[in-house]
Amino acid sequence: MLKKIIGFVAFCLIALALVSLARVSATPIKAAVGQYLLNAAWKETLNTTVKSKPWANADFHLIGKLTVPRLNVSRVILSSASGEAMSWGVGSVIPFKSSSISSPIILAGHRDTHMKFMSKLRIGDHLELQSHDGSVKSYKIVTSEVTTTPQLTLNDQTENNDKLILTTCWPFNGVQSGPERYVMIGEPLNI
Amino acid sequence: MKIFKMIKKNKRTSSNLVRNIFEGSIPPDQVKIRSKANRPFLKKMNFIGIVLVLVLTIIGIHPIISVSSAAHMFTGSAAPKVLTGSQTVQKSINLDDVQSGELLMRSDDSINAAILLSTDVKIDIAGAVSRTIVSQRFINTSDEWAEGVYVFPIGENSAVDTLKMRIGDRFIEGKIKEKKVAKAAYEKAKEEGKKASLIEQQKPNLFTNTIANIGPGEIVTVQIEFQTKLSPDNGVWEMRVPLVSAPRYNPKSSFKQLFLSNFKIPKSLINAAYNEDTDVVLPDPAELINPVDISIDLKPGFEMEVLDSPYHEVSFQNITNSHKKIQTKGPISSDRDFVLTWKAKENKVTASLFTEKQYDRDHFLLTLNPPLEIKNQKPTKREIIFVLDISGSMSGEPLRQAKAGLAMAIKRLKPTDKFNLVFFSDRTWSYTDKPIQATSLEKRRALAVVHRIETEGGTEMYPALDYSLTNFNKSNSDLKQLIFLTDGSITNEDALFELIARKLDDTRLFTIGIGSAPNSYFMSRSAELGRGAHLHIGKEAEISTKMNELFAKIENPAVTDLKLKLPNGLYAEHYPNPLPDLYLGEPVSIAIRGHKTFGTATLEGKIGDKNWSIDVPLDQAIEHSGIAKVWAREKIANLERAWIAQSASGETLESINKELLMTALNYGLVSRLSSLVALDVTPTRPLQASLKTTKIKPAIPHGWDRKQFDFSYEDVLPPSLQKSELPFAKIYKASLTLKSQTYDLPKTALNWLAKVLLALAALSFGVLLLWVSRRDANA
Repeated sequence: MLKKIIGFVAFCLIALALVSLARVSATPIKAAVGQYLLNAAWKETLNTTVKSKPWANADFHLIGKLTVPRLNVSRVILSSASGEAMSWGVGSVIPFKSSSISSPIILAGHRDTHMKFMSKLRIGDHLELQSHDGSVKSYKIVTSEVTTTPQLTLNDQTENNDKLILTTCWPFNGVQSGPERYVMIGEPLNI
Repeated sequence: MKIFKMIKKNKRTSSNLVRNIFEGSIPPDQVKIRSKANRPFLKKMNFIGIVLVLVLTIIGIHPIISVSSAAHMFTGSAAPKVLTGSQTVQKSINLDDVQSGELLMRSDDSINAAILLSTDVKIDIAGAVSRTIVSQRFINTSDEWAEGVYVFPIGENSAVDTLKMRIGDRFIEGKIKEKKVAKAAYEKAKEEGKKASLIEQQKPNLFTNTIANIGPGEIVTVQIEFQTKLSPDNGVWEMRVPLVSAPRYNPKSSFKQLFLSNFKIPKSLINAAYNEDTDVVLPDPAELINPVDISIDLKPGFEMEVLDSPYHEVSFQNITNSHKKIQTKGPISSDRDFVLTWKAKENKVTASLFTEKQYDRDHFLLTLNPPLEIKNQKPTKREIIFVLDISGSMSGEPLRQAKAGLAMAIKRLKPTDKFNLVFFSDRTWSYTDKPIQATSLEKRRALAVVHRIETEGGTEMYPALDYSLTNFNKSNSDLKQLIFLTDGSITNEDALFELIARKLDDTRLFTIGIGSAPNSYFMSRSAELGRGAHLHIGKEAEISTKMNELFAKIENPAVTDLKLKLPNGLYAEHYPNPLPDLYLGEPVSIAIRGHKTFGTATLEGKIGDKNWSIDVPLDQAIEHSGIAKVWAREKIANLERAWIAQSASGETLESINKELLMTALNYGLVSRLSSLVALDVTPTRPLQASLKTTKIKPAIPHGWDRKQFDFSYEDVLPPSLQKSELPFAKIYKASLTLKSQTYDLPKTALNWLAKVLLALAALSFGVLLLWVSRRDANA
C-alpha cells in the first residue's frame, strides 16, 4: 500500500517539478532572447531614426541603449517599466521625453536578469546612453545608496534633471521581493 | 511511460484487493498479514529519512540564499553604503510631512521650524465653497539672518490667490500679474536689492513661499487666502483646520546654534519637549505660545440637523436656521486639528444660491444638495459597460487590482441592471454581444471570465471605444454608463474626441486613468462631455479601492438629465456645461455669470422616470464674497482645456489665451499665464537692519487687515524676548532648497533562481522517492 502511495507522490512531485521548471526557466530565456531581439530592433531604429516597437504587438517602444564599457554590458531601454516590459529589458520609470528634459532619467530592471550587472558597478564607473539620433551622452556614477522604501526622493528637481539614475531591488541575492531598492546616480560628463 | 504503467498496474492490483476483501474471497486477516510482511522495519526508517531530507531541503534553501546575500554585502567589490531614511531626510524636510502652517528656516545643514507666536483663522462657507484667511505670526529666534520658507497645507481642491507678509518693518504683497510682467517685476526688484519672490504652488495640496532675509529676532506675519471646494462624506460635511505640526528631526548641534547666548528664551518657548537623548523635537502643545483663534461663518445653503466641533470648545451664534457663526472660546490648544462638521436636515434635493456682483456682472453659485436616500424611489435601471485595458503594460499589480475592482463592481450589480464587459489590447472583444441582465448566474459567469483574463499585446483604444459606445441596447428608459479604464498614453485624441462626439448619444462616460502615462486632459474632458466623472489613480495599490468608491457612487443616481432653464431674455454663461447627473450624497455646484439678471431660473431633470424640477429665484440669492472667483476659476479651467485641445492638434488660437489672461487678471487668479509675485510694498521708511528701530510703528499699506499687521513688538512678544540686543546683519547666503520630487520605483525582482532551485529540489526528491518505491517493488 505504502509504496504505491510513495510511487504516486513521487510521480506527482516529478510532474510538478518539471512543469514549474519549464515555467520558471522561461524567465531567464525570455530575458536573454529579449535582449537579442531588442538589440536587432535597436540597430534598425538607429538606421531609420523612428521610434519603433520591437515587435508588432509590443506595448512599449525602444528609447535608447545603455552601455557600461568597463563591464562590457549593454542594455536596450524600453519606454515602460511595467512588469511586462521589464521581463524583456530595462525600462524607463517616468515617461521619457527626449527633447525637453524636465526630469531625470530613471531606469529600472530586474536584479536577477538585466540589472544584475549593478552589483559590479562602482562609483566612478562611466555609463553611455545612446539615443535615437545615434548621439551618445556619457555619465559618471557618483553615488549609490539603498532606500528602505520603494521610493526615491530627489531634492531640488532642477539640479537633478540631468541625472541618470539606475535602480533595482535590494539585496541582489534575495529570495523574496522586499521594499528595499538599490539606487545609483550618475552625473553627466561634459566632454 | 514506465512510471505510468507501473502506477496503473498498482492501481489494478489494489482495487482487485479491495474487491476481493469485500467479496469475501480473501479473509481480511490474511491481507493484513501480507502487507505487514512487505514493510520491514529498515525500509520504514528509510522513508522517514527521506521525508526529513525533503523538509530540510525546503527550509534549507531560504537561509542558504540569504546567507550568500549577506556575504555579498561585505565582500562584494562595490559594497554600497546603506543609508537609513533619517540620514537622507536630514538635509531637507519632506514637504509631505508638513501638516500645519510652518515657517521653515535653514541653518548650516539642517532645517528648523520657526516658533509660531499666534494663528488666526477666518473661514466663510457658502454652499460647497469655503474661503479661508489664515494669519500666522512667527519669530526668528536665531542670531542669523535667515531664509525661510512658509509652508501651509491646503486641501487638494484649494488654490491660494492672496498673500500678504510683514517681515519686521517690510511689507510684501502677492499680486497677480501676467507671467511676463511678473518675471520682469521680480528681476527689477532683485536688481534694486529689494526682496521679491515668485510664488508657485509646488504641489496641488501644499502652498509654499520663500521669504528671504529674515533678520535675527524679526517677527514674520504671513496672511494667505484660499478657496476650497468642499464635498460631504456620507452626508457629513467637514471643515478641517490643520494645527498639529509633525515631530521634526533636528540634529542637536545646529539646533542650539540657532539660539543666541545673550538672547534668553524661556524654556517653554523652545519646543518644550526637546529631548537631548532622542534628538527629535516634539512640540509640547500646552507650553507652546501659539494662541489659535478660529471664527467661521457658515452658510451651508440648507437647514442643519447636526453642527458639531468634536475637538474644541466653541460658541455658536444662530443667525437663521441655515446660517451660524462659530467662534473658538479663547485661545485653543493646537495639539489636534480643528474640525467642524455639519449635516443637512432635509431628506430631499435642495438648492442654494449665493451671489456676488463684480465688474457690473452678477455671479452666482448654485449648489444642488441631494440627500443620502430618496424614499419610495424606484431604482434606476442601469445599463453598464465596463471597458478594461489588458495590454502588456497592465501586467502584474495593475491588472490584479483592476480585476479585483471590476469583480467588486460586478458583484454590486442589481438584478435590474444590464451589463457587458469589453476587453482590449491591440484587439477588442466582449463578454456578450449586447449587455445582458445581471442575474446571479450571469454575474458568476462574468466573474469567472474576469478571473481568467490575462494581459497581451499593445494598446489600441479607438476600436474598443467605438465598439463599446455602440454596444448599448436601444432602450431609452435606462441610464447608460460606460466605464473606461486604461493605463496607456493617448496619441490620437482628435480622432477619439470626434468618435465620442459622434457616438456618445446619452451615454454617461466615466474614465479611469492608471499611472503616469494617461493623458488626463483627454480623460477628464471626455468624462465631462459624457456627463460622467474622471478618476486618476497614481498609485497601483489604490486601484481597486478607488474603483470601488467610484462604482458605489455611480450606482445611485438621484436626478438625471439635469438642465438649467433661465428666464426668457436672459443669457448667462455657466459651468460645468453640460450639467452632470446628481448622485445621492454628492452635491453639484454650478457657477453662473450673467448681466443684469432677473426673475427665476429653473432646474429640470428626472428622478427615476418621473420629471423633477426646482425653482431658483435669482433675485433672492444671498450676497457672499468670493463667488465671482469661483466662477472665474471654472471659466479658466474650461479655457485651459480648450487651449490644450487646440495645442494638441497643432494650432493655437491666441484668442483663447487672451480671454484666459483677461479673466485671470480681472479676478486675481493664478493660471498658466498669470502668477502671484510677491513685491515689497513698504510705504515710507527705508529698511533698517536692527531690531531697536521697530519701537516706532511702521505705516501699514492701504487695505491691509490692521488687526493682523498693525502691532508693536510689545504687543506680540513675551517680555523675556523684548529686551535683548541683537547683532547687526550677517546676510545668510545659502539658499533653502525644499523642492523635492518623489518617484515610485517598480518591483524589480523575478527571483527565478530560487524558484529553479526549489523546482530542482522537488525534482530530485521525486526521483529519490521513485527510486525507493521501485526498489520496494523489486524487493
